[in-house]
Amino acid sequence: MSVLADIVRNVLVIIILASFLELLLPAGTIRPFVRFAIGLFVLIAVLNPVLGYFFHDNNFQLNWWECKIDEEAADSIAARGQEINERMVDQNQQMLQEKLEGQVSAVILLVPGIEEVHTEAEIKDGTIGRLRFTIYIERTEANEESGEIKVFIDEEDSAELKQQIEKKVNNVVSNMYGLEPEKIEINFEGGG
Amino acid sequence: MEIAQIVGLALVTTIMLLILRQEKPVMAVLLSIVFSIIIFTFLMGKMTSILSVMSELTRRAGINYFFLSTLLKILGVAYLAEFAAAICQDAGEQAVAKKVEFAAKIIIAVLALPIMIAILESLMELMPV
Repeated sequence: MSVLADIVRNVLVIIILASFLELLLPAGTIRPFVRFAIGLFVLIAVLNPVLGYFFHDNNFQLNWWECKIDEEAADSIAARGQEINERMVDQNQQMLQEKLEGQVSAVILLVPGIEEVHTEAEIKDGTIGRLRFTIYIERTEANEESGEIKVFIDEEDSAELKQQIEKKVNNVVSNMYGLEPEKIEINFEGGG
Repeated sequence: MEIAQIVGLALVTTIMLLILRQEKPVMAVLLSIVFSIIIFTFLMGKMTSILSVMSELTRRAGINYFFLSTLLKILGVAYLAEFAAAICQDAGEQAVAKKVEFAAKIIIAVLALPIMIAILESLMELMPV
C-alpha cells in the first residue's frame, strides 16, 4: 500500500510541476519539442515504479533516471571527503617540506666554510614561500693548527667571510629553486 | 507595480523603435536587444524565487532533482532561443532566426535523448524475444 501511495504522490507532483512549467513555455515553434521532453519525464515517473514493482529482479536503465540522493548522507560524505583531502594535502606538504629541507641543507653544505646548516622551509600551496638557514661557520685552520684560543676575533675577516658565504648561498639557492633573494633568510651562528 | 513600469518602458521603446526603424535601422536593432536585456534582468529576481520554490517542493516531495534541473535547462534554452529569434526577425533576418530555432531544437533533443533511450531500452528488455 505504501508503494502505491509513493507512486501516486510522485506522479502527482511531477504532473503538477510539468503543467506549471508548460504554462511558462514560450509560444513558438520550439513549444512541441519542450512538451515532448516534459512528456518523457512524466512517462519515467509512471513507468519506473511500475516496472520496479513487477520486475524488481531486472536492472533497468530507467532506474538511473530516478535515483534520489539522501541530502544528509550526501553532506556528510562531502564533509568527510573534504577532511580526507585536507589531511592528504597536509601530509604531502609536510613530506615535501622535510625532503626539501634535507635537500637544500645537503646542497648548502657544499659551500666552502660551512660546517653545519639547519634549514627551515615554508611551503604555501605546494610552492616554496620562504627558506630560513641557520649556518654554523667552520673554525679557521690557523686556530686549529696552533691550538691557540683567540680572545679577540678579527671582526672584519669574520664579516667578510659571512658576506661571501651569504652571497654563495643566495646564488646557489636562487639558481637551483628559482627563489628570489628576499625569500631567503640567512642567520649565522658561531665561526671566527 | 512592476507591470506598470514594464508597460511604460515597452511603450516608450516601441515608439522609439518606430521612429528609429525609418531613420537608423541598426540603432533600432540595438535598442530592441537592450530592451530584451533590461526585461530579462528586471525579472531575474522573480525567476529566482520561482525556481527556489519549485526546487523546495521537489525536495520535499522526494522527487529526483535531475527531473526539475533538466526541465529548467530545456525551458531556458527555449526562452533564450525565442528571444534571439524574435530579435533576428525584427531585424528582418528570417534566415538567422530559423537557424537559432533549429539550434534550440537540436539542443533540446540532445537533452531529452538519454531519457528517451533509457525508456526505449527498458521497454525492449521487457518484450519477449
